[in-house]
Amino acid sequence: MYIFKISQHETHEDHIFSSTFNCFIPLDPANSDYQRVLDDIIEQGADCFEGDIPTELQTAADAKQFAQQVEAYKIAKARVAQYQLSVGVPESTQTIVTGEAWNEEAGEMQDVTETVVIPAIPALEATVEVTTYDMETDTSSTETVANPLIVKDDEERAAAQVIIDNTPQPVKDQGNGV
Amino acid sequence: MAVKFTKPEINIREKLAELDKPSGIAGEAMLRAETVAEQQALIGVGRRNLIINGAMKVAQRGTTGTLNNGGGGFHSADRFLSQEEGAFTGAFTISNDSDSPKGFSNSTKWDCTTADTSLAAADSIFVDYKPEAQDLQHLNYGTPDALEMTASFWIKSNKTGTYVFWLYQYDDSRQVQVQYTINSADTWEYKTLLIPADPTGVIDNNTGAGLALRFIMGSGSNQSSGTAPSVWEALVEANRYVGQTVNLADSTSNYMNLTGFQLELGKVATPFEHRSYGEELALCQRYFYKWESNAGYNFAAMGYSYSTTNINAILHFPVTMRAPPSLTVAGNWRACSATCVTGTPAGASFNTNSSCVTFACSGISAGVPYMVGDNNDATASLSWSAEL
Repeated sequence: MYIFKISQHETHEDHIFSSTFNCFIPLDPANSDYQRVLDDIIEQGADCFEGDIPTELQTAADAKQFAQQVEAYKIAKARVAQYQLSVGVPESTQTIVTGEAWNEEAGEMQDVTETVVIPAIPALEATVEVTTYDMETDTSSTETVANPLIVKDDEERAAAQVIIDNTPQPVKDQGNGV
Repeated sequence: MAVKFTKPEINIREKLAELDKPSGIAGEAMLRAETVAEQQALIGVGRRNLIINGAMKVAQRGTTGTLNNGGGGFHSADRFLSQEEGAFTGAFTISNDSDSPKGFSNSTKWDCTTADTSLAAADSIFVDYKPEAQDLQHLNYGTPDALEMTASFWIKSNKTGTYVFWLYQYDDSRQVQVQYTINSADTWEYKTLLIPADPTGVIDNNTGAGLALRFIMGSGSNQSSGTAPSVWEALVEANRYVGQTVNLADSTSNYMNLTGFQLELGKVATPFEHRSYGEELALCQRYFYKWESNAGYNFAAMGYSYSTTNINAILHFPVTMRAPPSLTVAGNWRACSATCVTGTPAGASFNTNSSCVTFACSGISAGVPYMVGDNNDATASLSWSAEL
């Protein structure tokens, strides 16, 4: 844990002092050490600071955390939006515009459309057989286990859903472009 | 006496066709050039390498360091940032190594000292180089005229297999990767990688990080379970390091050496652009500058006592730094006028051109000029960092 404090000096602008590294850090977002201070405030809160965290720093840390949460929310939302391997995707159709043609009856140019069939993606088998060969006894055994691809997919979806569920509404609004 | 000559047959039609080659005057000169250097001079390629310290010559922070959980940082060669993410349980020693391919005298070595045989899903270990955004404007990223680049480097490891070189564009959060293979163990191999252009993502014209150029050493499944982005795409976590089959941390026998890193415009890797040590050092000092005593009683800066307890001393940087830097102070200090007193760093001001450091002292008079230096401490140093 790094201990920071605000260093106030009569001939200098206020800056951050890290007693762990004997390091003086400017209050400047372009400085990477300043960004690490914000990260520590996000992770450790008041524990990493000697005295109260100055309002300016807390505001900057809150803004950074908000941006990180928006990014995490977007990633989680994109993950959940992917199709579920255990369910697959049914066949669907999509109408696309391929050009324009003159419509005599309407007396105007109109779109020419074509319907495209998007093939189904079948669900993966729920289980797979795993054969284990024992060299000592020269025998093999087969057992049926849950499809590891589905297990992993479900785990990742669940983890993403937890992130979505725990995301504060203002962050969701920002992530959804509201 | 009759003399008979025999000559090889000539295909007149072919020779005539060759005359039609649209080589032009410049092309003819290029064909006449006898060395690559002559050809480069003809086309005026000038400075090509976008990488600073690609030959790993400059190591201002010291020549060794450690990469472990929470212990990443700029170790050994300047500008190269060794990092880990997640809960990595292994460790690497990073050092400046004289083992290098022909034409080089240094490389950086990552030597596994504690193994992490099975990286957890969220774990990854890597080495970053971050060029400054304003130095990448000529790539024309974000326009139809975006340019391709070629990365080239020398690499050596006991671990053969597929590695990922990942690029990340900060301003628009975009990524692309290129995979390469180390074919032979314990052998220096030269790799050239074509980096696709990105006509979509704009690199802002500022002093921030333009790109991250990342050498992956190992990755858990969270960042390698998707689809490899062979063209630039919006960041998808699962796609980042797809294809990285090597976990360089899976045995304490493992190591990796890297040098001769070059990034240049175009589809062709040209010979490494060697720069003098002094030039590389100056380029590095835009991001990190260290004043070191190296011997006892050396002076670093001039100052004056503005009170009976404080001396302000100013030190000018050799080059303008990227951003206001942070200052790390090590060792024991003193200030001398007619007599010398010990001092403790008590504050600093931050500017891209110079830094004013305050030393708290006792037994001094106000308004007296002082010279500030180490107090017989060869390890004393002042380090300013404006790294990306």
